[in-house]
Amino acid sequence: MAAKGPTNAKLWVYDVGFGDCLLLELTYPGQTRFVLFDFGTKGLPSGAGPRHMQAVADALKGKLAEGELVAVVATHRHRDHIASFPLLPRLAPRVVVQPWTDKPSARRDWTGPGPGPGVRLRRLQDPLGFMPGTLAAAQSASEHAFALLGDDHPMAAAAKNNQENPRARAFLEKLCPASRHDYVFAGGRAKNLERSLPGVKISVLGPPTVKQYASILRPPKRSSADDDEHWLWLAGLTDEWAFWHRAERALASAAEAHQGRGRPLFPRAPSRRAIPPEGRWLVERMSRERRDAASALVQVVDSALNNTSVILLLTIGKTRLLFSGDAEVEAWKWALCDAPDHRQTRAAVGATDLYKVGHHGSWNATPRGTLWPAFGKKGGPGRRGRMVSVLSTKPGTHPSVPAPALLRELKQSTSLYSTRARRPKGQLCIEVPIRLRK
Amino acid sequence: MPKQRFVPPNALPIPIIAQDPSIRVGGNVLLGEVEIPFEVTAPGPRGARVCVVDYDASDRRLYRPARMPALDSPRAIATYRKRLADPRALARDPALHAVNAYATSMAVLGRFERALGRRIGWGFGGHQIYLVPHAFEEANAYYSEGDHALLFGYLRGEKKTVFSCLSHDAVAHEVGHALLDGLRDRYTYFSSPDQAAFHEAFADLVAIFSVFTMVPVVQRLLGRTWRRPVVARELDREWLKRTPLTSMAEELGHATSIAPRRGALRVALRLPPSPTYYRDLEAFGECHARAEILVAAVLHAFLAMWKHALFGAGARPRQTVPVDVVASEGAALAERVLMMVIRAIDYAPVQDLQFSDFLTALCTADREVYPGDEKYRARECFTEAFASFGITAGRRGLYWETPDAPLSYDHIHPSALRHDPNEVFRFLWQNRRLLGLYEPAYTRVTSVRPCIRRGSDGFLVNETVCEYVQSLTLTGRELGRVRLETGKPGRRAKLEPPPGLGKDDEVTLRGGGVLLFDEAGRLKYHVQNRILSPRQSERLASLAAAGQLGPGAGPEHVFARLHLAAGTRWARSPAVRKGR
Repeated sequence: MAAKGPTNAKLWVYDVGFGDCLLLELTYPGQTRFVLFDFGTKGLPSGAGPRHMQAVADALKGKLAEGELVAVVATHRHRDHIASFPLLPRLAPRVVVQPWTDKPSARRDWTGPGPGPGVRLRRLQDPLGFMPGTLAAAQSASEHAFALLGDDHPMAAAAKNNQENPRARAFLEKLCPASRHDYVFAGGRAKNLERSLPGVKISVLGPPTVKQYASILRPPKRSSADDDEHWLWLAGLTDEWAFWHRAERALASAAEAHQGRGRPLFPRAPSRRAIPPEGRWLVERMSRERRDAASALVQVVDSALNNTSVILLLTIGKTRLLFSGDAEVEAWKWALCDAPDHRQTRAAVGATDLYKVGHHGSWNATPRGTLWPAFGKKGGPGRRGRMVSVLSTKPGTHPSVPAPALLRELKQSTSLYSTRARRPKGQLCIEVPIRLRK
Repeated sequence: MPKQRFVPPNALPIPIIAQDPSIRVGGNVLLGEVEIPFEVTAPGPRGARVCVVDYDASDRRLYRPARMPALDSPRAIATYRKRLADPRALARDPALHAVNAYATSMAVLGRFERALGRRIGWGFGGHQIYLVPHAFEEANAYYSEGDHALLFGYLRGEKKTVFSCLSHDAVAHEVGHALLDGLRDRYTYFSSPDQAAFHEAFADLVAIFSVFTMVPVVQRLLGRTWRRPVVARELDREWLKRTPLTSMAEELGHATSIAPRRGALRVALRLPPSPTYYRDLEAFGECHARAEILVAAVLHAFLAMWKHALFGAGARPRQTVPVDVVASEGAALAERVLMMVIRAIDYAPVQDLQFSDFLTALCTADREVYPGDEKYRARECFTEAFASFGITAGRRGLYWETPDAPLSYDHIHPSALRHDPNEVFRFLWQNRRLLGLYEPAYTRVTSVRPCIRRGSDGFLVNETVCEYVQSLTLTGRELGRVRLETGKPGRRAKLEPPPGLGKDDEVTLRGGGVLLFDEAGRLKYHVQNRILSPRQSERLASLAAAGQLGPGAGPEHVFARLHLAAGTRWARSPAVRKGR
């Protein structure tokens, strides 16, 4: 006998500024179950005080008291998605869902669970090519980049957001026993979550594992035996560890020098910090270039972390809810164009009724070339069964996010619920009704 | 006694690090010696063309400008040699790095000036390029046109620090990029896969042959393991691969991973001749991979010439030659090939270069200097080697044709043609139909370069090399109406608009040419890529495939937009694309 599914559903979207905190409420006969998607921010809402996140945590606690929190989904390890979980110390979900890259026992060169050869990618900065060890080194590099860039730089928020967040990650790890953690990957299953939500079909669309991703990359056609070495050589590197650890070390040196704690390359050679007038033009350009390089590296790490986002498609009866974290164009390309089951995925995504807009409305998390045209329920206000979109964002935190063009399309073609909309004073969240179709 | 006036020499012999500090002989760093154009430098060293600024952007520290050593006596030279060859002194003294990098770059520059018979300008328009030997802590070295600089990184290791500015290859390679940019600035524009690859290949060739030209270095490296004479049948690709000349690059590669350009030699020699690489755009479309094909073709030609010079046409398989002769002949030949490669740039199209054009340019340039060539048979060897890699001269032939149309020189002053772009433009305009210019296009003479070279008869020859470009911006709608030349009189072909180009989207067609005038101001060669040439369809397809169509598709956008080409088209302007 099929398990009885929820009879009603709602989504509560808490205004955490530039971050995510969404509570899915599913009403079962005689019981209400909640699934909490992320809790963090990197830019508080305009006018919010320093205790805003605590207030949101208190409001969440109040809401959770009305039912049972069955699952916490921490889509990925960016601060704006997980940093505030420790504000909910008594949280006791049945299940915690996280991406495969966050498995605590993972080896640094783990290319992911599931079938496939244990290959290593030879593309060093590919946003889908990061393993647990390289992610950690990249995060550390990003931390040093933040020290170098300073608070005023446009990428400073992203650099800070990329930093390792040991407190929140340790908190998530201890939320429930290890056996009830689902470390998911594209095409895999979230078994604990499935058991906790009867009547809800759960499809995991992302993140892809490195080995899945590597399987679609064609190796270069070469005849000689040491091709790998050659390609790495062309990149000027020996391997991905070398790259990220060198980047980390170089940025650390630069950050130390920036803070006046530098280690001179030639301790005995005469040198000085003050730049004579004839050298200023070049030195200023070089310094700017260094900052640009650090900024570019921050972007790579940002994209890599975003692409580790858990993408869940929940199907309740005929209603489909798509939660994508901050997955970017590369992850969508995998799911909708490259994965072995991409045709089925595309059809399923096409029938989405509610879409949590990825990455706070950045244009590359809702790519126009892949995801956006796949949505089949877009249309004007008069369209029956028009897709609902949910946006949690704050302008001015991240350059060009939310993207004006995307925002315009969302307003025109979907029923948009945004945390930017005005709310009655004192209300911390918006309620998004979900119409369940049998 | 009256004080004698100091007469500066033309060139200054100076020791430099032959390869990099990891190549040692008896515990000392292996050195070579080069001649650089003489000049009285300011501390830095700062000369008329290269200014060393030793600023470390990672450490935010400026090292005291180095002074050029006074190399005015054998004793002074010996002292400097001793210091430069001492690994401990090298690890401590940034001034040695500064002088060595300055000398290496000036040696390359001097070679270019000798080959072309004139001063070479930098691509950014200024007279002096900054050379920053310890620019940042990073496994990287590059030419930055925007900064007017050659930037060399370093890498701190557990036991030692590796400096890319001490690698002869890295310095020669980057100077090669900068000089090519000065000679053909449009080669950094995205055009065809060949053009993108050419910059890399050219810089690799400059680096490879710069080392090969140092006779004592080649002698020492070959003699170290090849004490017995070289047998004719052994002198082939496999032999060169096994020599220390290539294996030393491997050592460097393992130690540093910083631009070990000698690795290019090793890699290129790994490619056995085959015409398939050139056609295989999937595996050899990426610029570094494609550059290997050209490097391999040139190296195979070099090997064939070397063998011919040593053993002649009828070499017996067991014929032997002492290693010293092999080395000195190799070094002399390397100088000749390097000069050929550099000179060919004057005979190469201003943009949209293809490898076949380069072959024609090589042969034409070489014929000008060596009309008869019994010793090396250079042009024959080049043609064969290129053909074995699938590169043939095509319809244009092995040599550019001398214009046979009755050009008008009325009111054209030969003396003004040697320096005045307006005079050259007047000549162009006066002969626009005969020269195949497209009248509606915007036309501009971008350079007029007088040069002096030694002719085959030993006399000095004055020539002038002029470049012009043409451009025409059309909408997608207008593009459909363009008819291209087919090479057959009266027949035209439709220009295929690239896929995805909207009717109102704009695209710029480009063309141009090089005019080579002789001493009398008569046009000797006209190397042209016409705006309406059949290649235009190919070029537009390449640009479309690389996402390079649309506004701002210049060199500054080539790399920034690579990542953004796939799938995300919310924002159309490049400025917005750089954001998120």
